[in-house]
Amino acid sequence: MSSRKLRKSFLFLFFALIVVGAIYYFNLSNRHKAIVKTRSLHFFNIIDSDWQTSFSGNNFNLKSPSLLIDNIYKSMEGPKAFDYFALDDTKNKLLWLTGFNVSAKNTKQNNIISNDFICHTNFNFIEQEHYGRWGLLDRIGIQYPRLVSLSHGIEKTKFPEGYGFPLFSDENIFIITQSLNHNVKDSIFQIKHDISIDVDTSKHIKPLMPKTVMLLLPFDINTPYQITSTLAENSCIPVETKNHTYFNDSGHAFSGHWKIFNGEDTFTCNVTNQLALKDTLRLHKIVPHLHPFATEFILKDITSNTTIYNCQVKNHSDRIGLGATPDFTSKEGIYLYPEHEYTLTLKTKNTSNIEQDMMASMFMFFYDEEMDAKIKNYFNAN
Amino acid sequence: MMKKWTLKLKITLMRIKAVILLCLIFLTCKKEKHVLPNLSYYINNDGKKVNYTISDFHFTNHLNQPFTDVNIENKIVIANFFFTRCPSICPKMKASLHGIAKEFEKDEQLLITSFTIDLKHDTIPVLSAYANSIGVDNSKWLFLHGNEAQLKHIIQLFKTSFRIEDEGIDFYHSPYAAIVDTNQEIRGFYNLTQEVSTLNLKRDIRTLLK
Repeated sequence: MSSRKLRKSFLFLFFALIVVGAIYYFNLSNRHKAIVKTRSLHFFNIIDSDWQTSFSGNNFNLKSPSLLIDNIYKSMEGPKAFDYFALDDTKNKLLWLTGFNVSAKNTKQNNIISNDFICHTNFNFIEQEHYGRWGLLDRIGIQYPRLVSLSHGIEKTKFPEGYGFPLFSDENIFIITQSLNHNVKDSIFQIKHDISIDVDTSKHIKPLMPKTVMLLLPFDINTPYQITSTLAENSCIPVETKNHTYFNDSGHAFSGHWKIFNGEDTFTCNVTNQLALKDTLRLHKIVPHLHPFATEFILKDITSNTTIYNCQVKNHSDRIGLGATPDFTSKEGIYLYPEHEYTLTLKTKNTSNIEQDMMASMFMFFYDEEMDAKIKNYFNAN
Repeated sequence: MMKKWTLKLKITLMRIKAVILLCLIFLTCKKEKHVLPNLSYYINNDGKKVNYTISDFHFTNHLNQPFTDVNIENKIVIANFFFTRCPSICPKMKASLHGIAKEFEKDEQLLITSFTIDLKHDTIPVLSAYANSIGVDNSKWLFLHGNEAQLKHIIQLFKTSFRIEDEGIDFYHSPYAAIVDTNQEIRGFYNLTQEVSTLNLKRDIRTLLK
């Protein structure tokens, strides 16, 4: 084949690949487009792709890679960055995590911008590393190892004074931070998420044990995008079925990410099984995770008919977004009992003319008596 | 005129290739500084650190040969738990380990060990067929079967757990693998269903192989 024909074939193949690639890309969902875009931009270093971390002894700071905001990104759709981190992998010192904070910054100008560009920042621990070090192997595989999530509406939280989550300085945690953009349509800009973790080195802090409860609603796995009459009231239409879908022991499907329609609605879920309380536990902290158009989020002890926590949500009045989703903090604590039943209730008011998406979880923190005894002995022995 | 245009195109293409090559060199030569912790210990009820090694075990590999401490001497070992009928996380874990096996094909010091938790179904012939279907050299990746007591012992050493579900047809188990150094001490845990964690595992294998 002559070199001219070879060049022509190569160019034809090249353009054909571009066309096929473009057709594939433009048929992706918004979420998947963001994944492809972010990966490409980071891989070719077109935008800053590195995490920056620093540890000062009482504060662990992270600056995320740049995330490109070029489109409307609803909850769970925006560009994200993630990796594993140890506070100080050169030492094996027991530390306490006592507070978490995330803010959004414009990359180019390095100034703080609205928290409307933060969807969530999740902090996960590795069970084998965490419980394994303390010989608490019976805790592995029982609960999803989420330490806490900061999210839109609650970008800063602190444990009550004298309480914290124990973590060795060379212990890995997994951090994922995702961007959000409900409102800005006519600009393209880069942001970074500034994340910080408050650290205490005192020996007199009491450990907290995290547990997560989610509002899960049933749906028909065979016809997920229709409400069928076979389902009880309080069912939902999921946003999608690949993620945030769970099955109970009877094989029925539940979604933790569903659609809400114009107007008001109320959703309720019994979370007694999720709490899985074997003993009476003392609750000190709740950090809620909600999406825009949530108005009230309630944790109730239905056995004693007591409201434990009622999160009064503030939505923006002039745009889509959450102003505040107040957390629950108590130094004295509130007792939850294994023989009681507990529910989550969510009230929503969708004032837009289009369907929106919703999630509702509570990250709960209980005094961990078993871990406290171990840590006291550890400090005495070392 | 055509000759000038062709020459310009050639020079432009050469410049693009040079830039791409430089980018690739830069990306692959990024320094990887990471200190691996020693995770082969637990803190007992008296608050004291109890160190241990991955030792005192007896399994049979898919070639029907004994597999004990001797087989991991001076080896860097990746260890995970699985079962052949697993429809959920195991295919992804298998793909990650396959990638690692291929990338470190020539490093004789690296050994991958996958312990089955489905002792009834995953007999030696079943594991052998499974290994053959993967197409990785037997010197690189071994599939192991043991008795209940040995499985319980090794699960504890690797700080993991599993649950029998669906009347023994399904199991809940961890997506994490452990890396063990030449002193038979655990140096890290990695989620094999996560790309970033698998990349970290490869980085740490390279660190330990040095």
